[in-house]
Amino acid sequence: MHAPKDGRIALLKFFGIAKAMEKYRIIGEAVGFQVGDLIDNTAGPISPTLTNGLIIGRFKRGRTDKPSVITQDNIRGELGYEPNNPDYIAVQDCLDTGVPSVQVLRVGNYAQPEG
Amino acid sequence: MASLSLTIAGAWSTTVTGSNALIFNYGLFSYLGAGVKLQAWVDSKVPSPVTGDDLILTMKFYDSGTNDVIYQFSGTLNQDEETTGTIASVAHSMGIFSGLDILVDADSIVDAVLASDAYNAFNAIATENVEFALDDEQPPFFDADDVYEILISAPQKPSYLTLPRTDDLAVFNCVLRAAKQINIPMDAEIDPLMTIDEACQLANDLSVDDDRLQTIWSPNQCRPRQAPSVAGRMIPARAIGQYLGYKLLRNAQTTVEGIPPIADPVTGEKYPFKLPMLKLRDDIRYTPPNLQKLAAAKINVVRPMPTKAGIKFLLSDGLTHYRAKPNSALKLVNSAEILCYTFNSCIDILRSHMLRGMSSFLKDASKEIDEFLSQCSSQTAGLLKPAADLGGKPYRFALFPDQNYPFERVRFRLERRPEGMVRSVLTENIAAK
Repeated sequence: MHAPKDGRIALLKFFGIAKAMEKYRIIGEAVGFQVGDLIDNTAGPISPTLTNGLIIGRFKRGRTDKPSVITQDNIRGELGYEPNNPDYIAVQDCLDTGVPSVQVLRVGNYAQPEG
Repeated sequence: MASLSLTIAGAWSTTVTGSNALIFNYGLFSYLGAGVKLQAWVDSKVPSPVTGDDLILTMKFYDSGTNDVIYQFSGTLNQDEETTGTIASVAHSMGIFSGLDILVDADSIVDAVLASDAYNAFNAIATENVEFALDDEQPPFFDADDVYEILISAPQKPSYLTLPRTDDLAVFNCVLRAAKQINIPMDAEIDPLMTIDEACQLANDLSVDDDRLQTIWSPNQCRPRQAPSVAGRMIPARAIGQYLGYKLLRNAQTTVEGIPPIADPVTGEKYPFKLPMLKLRDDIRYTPPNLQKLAAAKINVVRPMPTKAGIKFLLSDGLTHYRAKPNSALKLVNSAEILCYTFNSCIDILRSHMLRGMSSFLKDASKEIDEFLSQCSSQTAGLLKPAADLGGKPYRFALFPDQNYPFERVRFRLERRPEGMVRSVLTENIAAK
């Protein structure tokens, strides 16, 4: 890009100062424009998605304080491989349909009755 | 908290005694259960390590029965949590520890590692490691109130609650209570080994009258998931996992406005159940009285049905457990779900405008709700249909200030007519002259 000649530099400086003089974030008493940021009204409301399934069950492993995100990669590690457990089968079948992940909440066993 | 430690003399242990060059105290969120081992080893990054930064500690938790890796992570032997790549930083970022306390003695760590059994020199075949069997950790006993609170307070509200078993009434009641509270559908599966009478008895014994609950039953058999042959032991063919998967995949196919196609129920020919060598149990017979019984008990059965492409296993009904009025839309799975979805979405919109000026709240929220309901009523979404009760429109809503608390409270009233589902056809068979 060519450097502007001296006269053009002076002109650009003049308009730059002029522009800076008439634009304010908060105008107060001065003459000029109060200019805020661009208001983005282009984005509309996003409809809530319904792709968050939660399976509740008993498993060999896992946390019980909140749901875990289970995928094909971590199901055996996170929940423990139990091919005969109906809860495990449900999670596995769900993932086998092609769903990328499903939430799983592990619940504990019952307390043994005393005596 | 459990520990992994390395003494100055180079002995690895899961207890902390004497002078240690490394102490890794940890507590996991997960209860690992029985048969889990912790394996650890150290690799050197350079031929002659001088500091802990030259040494990489790897920790692997794995199931000794199946060899499945539960967690594995590596980091340099430095306890600085702010430096990326240190064992402390990596362990914290894993998000698996409820508590973590790491101490690395910079003066003795290199000598201790070099003297230990788990040191793998630079460019060596990494075969040296130490291994410890971990204690069998079991989760706390089932507490219905605790599980209920977890379900209703999750930051990301689930779309569906799914219960693969109905034999545990306490868990069933707890999950149903949560489904009612957060107003989302709940699907539960009846034991596939039951007889028709037992299944109907169980569904009736649940004595639920709620449009959010659906029970499905698959009295079928199949081969195990990874069975290499078609002949062999058959197992009960459970269906709820696949059913949930189909629903989530269906919901992902939204319209351009983002409305999920929930008017289309996951029933019938479009959603055939696929399991290896799926077949009906020999003792099950779908006679008209049996089918009547199942429908009366509100059980949606996965059963073999003839299609143009041959016999397929399909979910043959779409009933909720709504029992109050026999001709209500709430007894249909898709209609009930539309009613849940539209109301929940309007509540979400209202919530996003709350704690703002009354006038702008009324104006902006009304505009957004109208836009949303209009999208639900579009021909492509098809969730809501014109109704005579609503003046020929698919929905009607009102949002206005409360008379008693006009400065802080508004009232919201929503009426809409959901799409239905054809369950029966009355025919007239006429021979004309």
